[in-house]
Amino acid sequence: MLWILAGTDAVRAQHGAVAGRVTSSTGDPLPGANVVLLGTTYGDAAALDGTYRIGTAPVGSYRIQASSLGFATEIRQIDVAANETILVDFVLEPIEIESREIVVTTTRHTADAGDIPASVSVLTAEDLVVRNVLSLDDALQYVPGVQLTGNEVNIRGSSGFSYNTGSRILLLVDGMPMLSPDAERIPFDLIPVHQIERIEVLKGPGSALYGGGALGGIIHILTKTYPAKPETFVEAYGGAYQPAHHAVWRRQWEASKKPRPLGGIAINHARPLSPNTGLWANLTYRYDASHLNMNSSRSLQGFSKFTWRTSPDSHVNILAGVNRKTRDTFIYWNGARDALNPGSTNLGSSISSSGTSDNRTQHVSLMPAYTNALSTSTLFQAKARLFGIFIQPLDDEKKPRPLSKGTIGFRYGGEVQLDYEPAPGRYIVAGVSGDANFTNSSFSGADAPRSQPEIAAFTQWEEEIGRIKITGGLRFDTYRIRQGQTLRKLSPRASATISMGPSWTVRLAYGEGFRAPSVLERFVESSDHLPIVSNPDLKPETSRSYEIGVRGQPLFGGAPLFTIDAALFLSQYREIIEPKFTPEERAFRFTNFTRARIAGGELELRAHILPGRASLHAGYTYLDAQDLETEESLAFRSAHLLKTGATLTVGPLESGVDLRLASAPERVDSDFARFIADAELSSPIQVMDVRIGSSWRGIRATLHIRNALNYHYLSRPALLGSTRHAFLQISTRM
Amino acid sequence: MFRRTLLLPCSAALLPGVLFLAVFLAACDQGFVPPEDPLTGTLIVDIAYENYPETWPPTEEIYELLFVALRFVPKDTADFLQLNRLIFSERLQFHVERQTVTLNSVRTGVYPYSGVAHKYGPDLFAWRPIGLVEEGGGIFVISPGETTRVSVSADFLDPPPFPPPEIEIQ
Repeated sequence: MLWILAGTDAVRAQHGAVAGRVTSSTGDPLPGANVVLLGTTYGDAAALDGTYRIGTAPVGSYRIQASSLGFATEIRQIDVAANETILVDFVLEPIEIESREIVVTTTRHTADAGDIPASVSVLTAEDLVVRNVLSLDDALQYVPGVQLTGNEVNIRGSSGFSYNTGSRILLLVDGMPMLSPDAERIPFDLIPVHQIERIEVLKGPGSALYGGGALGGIIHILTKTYPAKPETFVEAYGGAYQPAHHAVWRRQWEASKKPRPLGGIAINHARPLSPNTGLWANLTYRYDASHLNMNSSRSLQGFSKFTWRTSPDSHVNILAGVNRKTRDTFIYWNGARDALNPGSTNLGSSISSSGTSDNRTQHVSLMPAYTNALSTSTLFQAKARLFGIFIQPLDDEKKPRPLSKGTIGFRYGGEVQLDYEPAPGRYIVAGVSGDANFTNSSFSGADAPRSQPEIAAFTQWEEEIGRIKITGGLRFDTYRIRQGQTLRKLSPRASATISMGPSWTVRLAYGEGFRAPSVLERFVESSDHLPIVSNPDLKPETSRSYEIGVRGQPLFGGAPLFTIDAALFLSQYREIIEPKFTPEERAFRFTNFTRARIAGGELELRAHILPGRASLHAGYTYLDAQDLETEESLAFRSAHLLKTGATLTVGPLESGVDLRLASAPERVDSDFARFIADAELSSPIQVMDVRIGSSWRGIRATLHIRNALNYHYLSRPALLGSTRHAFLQISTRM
Repeated sequence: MFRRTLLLPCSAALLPGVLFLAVFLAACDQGFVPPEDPLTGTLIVDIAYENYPETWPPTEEIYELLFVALRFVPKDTADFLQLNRLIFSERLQFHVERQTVTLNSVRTGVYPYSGVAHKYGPDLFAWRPIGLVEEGGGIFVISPGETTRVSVSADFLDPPPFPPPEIEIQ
């Protein structure tokens, strides 16, 4: 530490500054435009008049980048001299061609997407708004290589379907891990979509950076900051699911003969409160009658982010939110001929359980973060998090039962991180984190521990040698899984990117991941829906992944017209936890059983055919997922996955189409079919969403038709995916 | 001729739209379809209890009594929970020497393992067979629209072995 401080003082004496103005080609200032020194933490957002200033940049050569939504990103080479201010003005072209993406997930700091040593897909705020994405799981449907099996996220086949217990994907919000304290599920509704700046999806293990849970990949949500002037955004939408198509289904459920409504309203307000403070706040209400009987939901969500710039070099962000959702959850159908109604399992002559679960769920979250540039080469960050979840089952009259009949859980912790850049091209990150949780659930046995605290230390080193950038990382995690028993895991990672000219980069990556089983997975005891018994001796799942990829953004007339990314990957999984039916116990039990290998390839293309008028994106993923113990295909994985879409603007009309195709899973788990009729069935997925809209006097109206072909598919065993539904979305920004 | 020149540009403009609409409509409502109405037949079962009434247990020891026909050979009592692969009767009469039950709308197919199932305890899986269909090697077939008649000889004191030995299905 002394060495770091000594180095800091030495560098502090040699710094310069960069300042200038960002305007459009018409001369208008671009407030909010981001100006960053690539590969560093230094940057600024342009003020109302378009001016920016990076006050303390260390001496050296940099690539400086200016970007603003709707404008081509510009990158220049500059040299910062001691005690001098360089003036760099940017004039950005208002063309909707592919701009360079910025990614933070893979390195824990800002990096050009072309230089990152991993496969990352990015969904921008614009991507979310034009599709009227309603929640995080809705957004992920559009990401290549990502498949949702029911409501479980599956990145490159990492997850399959584990009956909602334990996610193999880690969710981060502004760099902070977010997992539900009850069963480590991803809380899809936590962050309002309108406040998301972008979503980065890292494909492959990320435990060396972020710890347990990042076994198969990471979903990173980056939230917006407050704008330079007050802004209010209001959006309302309403529509319906069309009546059921098949007569046999309509006969079984009278309500399916009529349209089933859905709708919602969201209000966002963002403003500066003083020269140094600002906030955004969001209130959202949604209702969805669903295409399935006893699957309706209504939710009310409030979320806010407060920012205080405590000094020119430091700021505090506080994210806080509450979310209440009341819903019936359709768990499994009553057979393929009665697919719209929940089924029931008759476990004997006197006991039966329904394939639906009615709950009221409330989430609370609080995430303060403090960032301080200690010197020109050192950045300090301290973050804390608190999540709470309260699940109350509903009785027959839809009244909530006491919390003792449901689940109450808290997860709380924090981390500190130090970024140090001793010289241009060398970047070091180190930090420690600690988390604890408390869970009390009617689903866990009486002797179950209520907590599973964890602490970790991590470090990462980057070195740029000519055209090659090498990255190495190591993280040590320790969990206390019960009194006197701890679990320790060391997760290394190594990667290299090789620049093959200004437009092409080759990457090689190796990483390891792990996931400790949750308290609920180890200690669940229930016969509410299916008989499940505990397994306290569950071991952590581990993964090991290798990848080679190439990313290109070739220039045509000085501007990048398309981005292409190709990757070959091989992932090995051990001790995968899945529920298996054990005849000797006559119940399901979470068991470590699979040694698996997933090999495959992925090709992603984003192109603007007619800049500003027509664009195209496509991503194809091939998976060969093998269970090495049984030599069968892994269950619930599709071998072929294609996500593609296009936008076209003709005059005042903006239109778009998205198509996602997935082959039927090579295999489905037959244990489920012991209890549920026709649960051994599966189907391919061929879903097309279309939209057409226009703007008039600041009001934007868009008609969306989801699953426009009304293709019937199973999103997981015994669960029919959404049928065709249409809605009108109207929004205005003031 | 005059009319034709007026219509040609209009038709040319409409054609792609009409073609697109036709393709679109033809592509709708595909994918997973509910299975056809299963073909069914009728099953009549004649059940006789050996050494009536001595072998019958007290009523409180009979938690359930059903005739069950499986479309597979079970390996464990848990297999009785594969409800979509078996059929079962209403509760059978207690303390009778013989009973005939009729099951309508029985799905067609081969039933290699069938008999009277006795639930002897409160445990969900406390089931045992007390008599099996034995004629034809215990295998019978339900044919569409036809009636099949089988018989079972049941004995609470001398139940058949369970799980059953391997049965070779011809």
